[in-house]
Amino acid sequence: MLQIKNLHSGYGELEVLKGIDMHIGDKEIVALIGPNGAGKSTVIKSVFNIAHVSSGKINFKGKNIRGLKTHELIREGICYVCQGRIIFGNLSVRENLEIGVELIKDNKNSRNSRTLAQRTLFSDTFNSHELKSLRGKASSKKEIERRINEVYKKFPILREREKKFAFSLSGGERQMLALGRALMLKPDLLMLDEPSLGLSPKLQKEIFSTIKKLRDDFNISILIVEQNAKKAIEIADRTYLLEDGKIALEGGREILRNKKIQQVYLGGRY
Amino acid sequence: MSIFSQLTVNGLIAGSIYALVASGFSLIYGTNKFMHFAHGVSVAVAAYLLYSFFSLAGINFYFSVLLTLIFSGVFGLLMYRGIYLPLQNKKASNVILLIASIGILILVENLIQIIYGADVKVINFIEVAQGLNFFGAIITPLQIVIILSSVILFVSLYFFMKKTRLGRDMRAVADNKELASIVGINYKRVASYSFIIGSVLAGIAGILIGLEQNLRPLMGTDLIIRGFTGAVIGGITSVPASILGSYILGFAENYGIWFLPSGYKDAIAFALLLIFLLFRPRGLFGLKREVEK
Repeated sequence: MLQIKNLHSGYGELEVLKGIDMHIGDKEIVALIGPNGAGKSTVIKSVFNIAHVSSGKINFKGKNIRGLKTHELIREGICYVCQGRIIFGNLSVRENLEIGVELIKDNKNSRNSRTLAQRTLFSDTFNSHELKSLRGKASSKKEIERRINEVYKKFPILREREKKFAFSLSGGERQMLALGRALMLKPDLLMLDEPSLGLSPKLQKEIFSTIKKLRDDFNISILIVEQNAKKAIEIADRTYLLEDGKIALEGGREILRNKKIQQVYLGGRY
Repeated sequence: MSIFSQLTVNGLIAGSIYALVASGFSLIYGTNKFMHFAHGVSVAVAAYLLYSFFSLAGINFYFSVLLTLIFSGVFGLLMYRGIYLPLQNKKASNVILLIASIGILILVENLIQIIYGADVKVINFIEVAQGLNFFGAIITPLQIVIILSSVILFVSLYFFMKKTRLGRDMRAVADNKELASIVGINYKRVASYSFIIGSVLAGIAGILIGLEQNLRPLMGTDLIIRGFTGAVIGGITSVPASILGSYILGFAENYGIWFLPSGYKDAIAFALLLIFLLFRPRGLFGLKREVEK
């Protein structure tokens, strides 16, 4: 699904990633762990064109997406739940959920209308297929409603808070809202940057088991960047260890037994 | 009693005008996070445009108003696309953008002076009318129009921000620019619209002020200081708060001259600005966390 080849990137003069290769398969959960400053978040930020990519390839579903603008990536089917301030505090919970979806809908409509215009150049009449695409516009409100209900079913607390400003939510609820917003877009790939950050151990556990279930419920691939190495490795199919801008180790769940991982990232007690 | 009602009416009129300036200023500040002081000159440009279309070219008044508003929007867009955006693309800091905005303010004010001359101009659309007596205060029909139209504008601006998608996207960008582009909002498009809408609001202010007062090339500086002060009093990050702050400023200035000579009007505005910047930079109604971030 996502392929990264020999990626060099950073911020301004500073090179953070020094040539990394990664891939994420269909419906795969991949964890990216490593110490502070190793460049974990920079991997996601490079895909999203927030960090500056100096060389390398980023392909998504076979298409080169390097250089696409940040706001265009959503349309390709990639969602990013960033670290820290992950929701719009001044918008209501419901507005937070609606915000990206309508943009996608827009894009599809404009594509339809463009082909429509092109086709009418050659024939003056609409065929039934084109009429159907015109009707699609009217029903899209229903579709948004349906997706919101799907998210509410997954995270019932959000339905209760629907009309509240999002800044009134607790840390765990915010994380759910951010996940919900990403799911509204029906992405193929979901990239999560430190989803457990600032949550209590109990909530962390909940979030991780939710993430694991998301894959099956929504049929998506997930990349999860985590400080909490053990938890991340446990829910992931594969794990990359990033050290100083390079992939130091790659493996399945068995790397929990790897000496180095145990000593450095699991406190040597595993 | 009649002095009190007269001062109240005067405060309401002044507040309406300041609020028109402050609402656009704070709308642009919200989505762009820099001080667009050239907003003041948008007001002056609109007033002079109306003067040119209506008084000089003799175009029908309502059509002149329409043209003025269109040109105001274009002027705002030009400032963003022509000056601020190229600077932002070069990673200019907000302080540099602030300096650029002061540069635009001075440049355009001087252009106005070159083109129209330094003497005051008058738009003679409304004959000097007999003021109406309103609880012992004198108010002209135009002043009623100023108050009513600004209130109508603020209500529609509120619903625009709350109920439309563009309004919601603007609030989202104001809230968190980076997150907004992650969820798929084209930040530059939203910023462009904020400049257009903000400058059209300035255009409306310019038209109403142009009808009420004389046109002076430097009127923009005076107005942006008032608008800025109003925005700071209320809370610069929020459009409704800026509007309320502007009315407070209007009243403070006018009730102030009950106790002080009327020459101290400006001093009252500056004193309030200083006090708020020192002791309550988030304003009366602004949210604390927004200033902290």
